[in-house]
Amino acid sequence: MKHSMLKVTFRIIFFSSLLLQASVVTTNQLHSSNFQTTLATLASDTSDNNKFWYWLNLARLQQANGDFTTSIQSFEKAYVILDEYEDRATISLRNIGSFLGSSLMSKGSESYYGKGYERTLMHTLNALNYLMLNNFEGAAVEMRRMEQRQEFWLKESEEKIKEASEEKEKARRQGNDTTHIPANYSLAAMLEDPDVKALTNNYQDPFSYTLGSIIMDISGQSAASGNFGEISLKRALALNPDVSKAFATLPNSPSIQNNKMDVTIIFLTGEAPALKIEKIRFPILHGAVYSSIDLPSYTSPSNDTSNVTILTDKLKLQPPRLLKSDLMAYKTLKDELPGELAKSVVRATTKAIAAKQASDHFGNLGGLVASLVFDVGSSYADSGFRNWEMMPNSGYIAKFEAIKKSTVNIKLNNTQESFVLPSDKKGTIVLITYLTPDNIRIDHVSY
Amino acid sequence: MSLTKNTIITVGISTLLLAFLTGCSSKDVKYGDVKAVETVTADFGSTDLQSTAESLTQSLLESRYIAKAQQPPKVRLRAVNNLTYEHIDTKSITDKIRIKLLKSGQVRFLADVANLNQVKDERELTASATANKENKAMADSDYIITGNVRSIKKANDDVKDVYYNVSLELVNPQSGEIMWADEKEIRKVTSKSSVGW
Repeated sequence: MKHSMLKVTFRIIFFSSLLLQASVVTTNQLHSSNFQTTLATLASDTSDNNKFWYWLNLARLQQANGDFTTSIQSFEKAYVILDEYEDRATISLRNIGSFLGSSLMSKGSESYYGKGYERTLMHTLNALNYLMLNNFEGAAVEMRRMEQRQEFWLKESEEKIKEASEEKEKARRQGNDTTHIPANYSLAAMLEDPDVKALTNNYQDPFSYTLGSIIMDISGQSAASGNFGEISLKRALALNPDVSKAFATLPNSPSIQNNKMDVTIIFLTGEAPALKIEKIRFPILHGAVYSSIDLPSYTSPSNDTSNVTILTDKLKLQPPRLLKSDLMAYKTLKDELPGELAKSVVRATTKAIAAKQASDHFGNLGGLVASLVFDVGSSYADSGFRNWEMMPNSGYIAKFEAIKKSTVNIKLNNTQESFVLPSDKKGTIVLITYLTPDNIRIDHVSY
Repeated sequence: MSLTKNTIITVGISTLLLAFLTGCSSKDVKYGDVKAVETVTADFGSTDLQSTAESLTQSLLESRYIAKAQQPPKVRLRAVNNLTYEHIDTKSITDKIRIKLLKSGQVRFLADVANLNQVKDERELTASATANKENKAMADSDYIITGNVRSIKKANDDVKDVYYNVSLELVNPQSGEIMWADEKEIRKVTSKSSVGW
């Protein structure tokens, strides 16, 4: 009897969750309909225009559509939201409300202001917008902003570590163990992946720093800005030694000396993992009522490439994957999980106590209804808790020398594209975006 | 009497409603003092632009290479590099400096590098055998002016501090020698409230 009641309850919750998620533009829509439809829907549905992630998703789609100026405007809107958050009063009533809500009710009561790697990447991607508009100085400003933005994330992370230890202590006083990740948590194994563990930190990526060094060189600002370009390249190499494979030169032959040019190709591919709240429900009081541990989790990345090749008449390059958004997301989750777990245990205990009291007063059905109310209520709050889902999952950079007017061939998975280099320029920058199979776009500027 | 009273009430309510609607729909537009100190945000703003142009132009005009020159030297303004964390239109700084210097009558300006091709095209339309000589004259500057805008940002829980440094240099393009240099420093501090929404 109790088991059949629980089954019915879980079905109700499942269908409620589906209904809650059907109203917003998600990566699912990008997969089920075409790129242009998704972009138009997202741009016209402004119901979430006070959310950080909304503007980032829109900016990415606009960039992938070649609308670089509007993409810059969308990124700027995201900055305004994040700047407001960073500039809040030391004792902010909103932050306190959000903290209490997420400690007692659900993780989804928090507003999402992005993780360190997302805050870094928004400036990097915006720098690409400026590059594609031939504004190298603007691109350099974004790269400096990228570096500056990390300061607040570090401060915020320190506060989170402090909060986590307080939550752990609270959970310990309630007699709960928060040292072990629940066995049925879907990302438990992924967080122990050697590639995740090998990342230096959760907010600096070699892609951004490599791009930063190239931008500083092209803009001619490297020397004036205290060798920022050289420092960026050193940082990129420290984060991933494979960065050295991103650069290739032609042999120094007098016949080609005056006929060669620099080519920089930047690939942005796929979609990063989408954030979700995973509920691990467990029965209490011999199955009469239930509670749940709700932890942040991620879907798998999608539409990504596994192989990128560049072919010229002189070189064959396989640029290294320098941006690994999925690993950055898992690394962040791994670092934050002790705090999240402790908070979640405190939440589950609070709900379990309330459900037990309902059960004591109104019988098993009362307890079950209380459990159901908590579950559906938190599912509703969690449904709006989203990250930058349309952020690229992978980024590749190659900077090499090629003969002017020669053809460059690019292979992305099974797709091949080619373009001819200009005859009278010092260099060219090519941006290739692969968001969905119906949206492979090549843009370029020369200097 | 009753009609008059109703009319008064109707007119009164209509007036109030109209005043309310007018108040809601219209924006209060007024002219501001262009020299007034602007502190809307801590970003590089109009007051910074004006004070920078004022102080650096004055300093440049007082330098011996300009003040004691036999005849007004030919100067070309090159770009001022934006090395800050903001998208500052540095052209607005150079434009302001150019106008102030030109008004002084102590220097002559050559076209910007950005506009040089357009000027060349225009000249070539009417150019004759003397074109090359004229083009050379167009390219020969006695000095070039160049510079940088830098910023340093610092913040703690209570205060956000932004320091701007705008520097200009007068360079002899033949020798590469820096003949004059000066800077304008600006510091902006924003306080965070301890308790707030």
